[in-house]
Amino acid sequence: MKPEKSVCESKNFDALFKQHSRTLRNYIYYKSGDADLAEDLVQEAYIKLWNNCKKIPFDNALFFLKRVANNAFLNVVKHKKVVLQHKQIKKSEVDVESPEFLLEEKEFLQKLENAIASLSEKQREVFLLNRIDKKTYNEIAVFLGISKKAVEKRMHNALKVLRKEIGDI
Amino acid sequence: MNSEKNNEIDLAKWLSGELSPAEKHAFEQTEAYKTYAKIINATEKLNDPAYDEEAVLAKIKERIATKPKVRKLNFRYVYAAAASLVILFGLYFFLKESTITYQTDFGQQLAINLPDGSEIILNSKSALQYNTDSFKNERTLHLDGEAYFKVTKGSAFKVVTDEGTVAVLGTEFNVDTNKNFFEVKCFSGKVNVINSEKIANILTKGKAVRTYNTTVSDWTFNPTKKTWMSGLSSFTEMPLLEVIDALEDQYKITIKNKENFTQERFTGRFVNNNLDVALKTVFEAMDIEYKLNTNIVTLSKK
Repeated sequence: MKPEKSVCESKNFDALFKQHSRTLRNYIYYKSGDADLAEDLVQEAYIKLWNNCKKIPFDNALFFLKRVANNAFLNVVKHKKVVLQHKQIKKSEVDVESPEFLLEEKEFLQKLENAIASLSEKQREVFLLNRIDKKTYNEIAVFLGISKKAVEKRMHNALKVLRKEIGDI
Repeated sequence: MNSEKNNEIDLAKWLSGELSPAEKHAFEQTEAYKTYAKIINATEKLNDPAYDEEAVLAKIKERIATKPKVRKLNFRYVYAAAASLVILFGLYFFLKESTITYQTDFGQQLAINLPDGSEIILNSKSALQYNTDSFKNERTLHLDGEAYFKVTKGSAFKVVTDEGTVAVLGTEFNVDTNKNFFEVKCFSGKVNVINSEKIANILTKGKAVRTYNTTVSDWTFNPTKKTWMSGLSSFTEMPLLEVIDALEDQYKITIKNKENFTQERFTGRFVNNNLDVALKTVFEAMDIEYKLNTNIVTLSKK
């Protein structure tokens, strides 16, 4: 058996950072709607990981990070509704779209953001980790420490709530 | 609308492309599908806020790098902090357990029973403090302001103020202090008064002594009248400024231009529950004009 990777080794620590920090940041952001706060908590979590690197097996690092960030989050904010700041992706097609269509699209995005804000925290996490971070249900399940079935259920319900909030076109 | 069919569709599976071709085809025929498709399509335009991974990692590294230094010091601080905490706690309990402070605000009076059975009535804007531990052996109190004492017979009973000290065995007396003002009235028994100039005066029933700006004066009064405790503040040849102070303490008012009346003295009393009447009795008797305007009284010479 080869010895386990140590978190105390700089390259392993960096790898953990590259692998998870953005997801972690987004996870807190989806909960809080505060990107600065999310970034601060990610820093705190990684510093705590480093300070405890001897005690934490490499494979448990993500779980540790998530728990530290989550606890810190619970201490700071309680259930602030998320207002996502969407950024329009620059696409070449944009130029060909008619102004009316652009307006309509903007309106719809606004509606969508409001609807996302009205999701429960649990639904929102799952929905956005999937849609924005492109995480598979399996990855989300591992990250949140729940079953894949639970992730699918939250996703299903999130979509239903969104449709209800936005209404049929 | 085929809403029943919608309910059967697992939206999560649809999204991850896990539906069978037949299920997928059926779902795509529904109205709901259009909305879901549009929602999913729009989510492509959602972005997470800018995230500079390298910058965040650099910040973390910087904070980690400065950590060991802090840590070394930390232990010393921890011990120091622990030690001072212990001291603080000790001090806190020591002070908390042994010193009691009573304080009154504008217009308030407070009746206090001491462990030896003595009674004290504290007038407005005054403070009284004593040590519960040493009080059994040495009956000493600190007073700032005015109070009436009914002392149970026993060992020496001392009232210490900034302006002088009163020592008694068992008696009733009133102490009133202010800056450069120290007045003691004896209602029964015998009182030994020592002012800040170390001038001693022994008072018997109905005698009073006052030190005002180092001038000592004494007079007799009727000890059956209990003055401010009965809702009246009474004064004998009192410098008017002291009377004005008493008015301010009793009614939480500000009296302006009082510095023009340093020479006047007032004999009489004012009620403690009616500002208009109190102002009238004091200032009309002194032939001073006054104007009351929401808590501010302005004085002027006639």
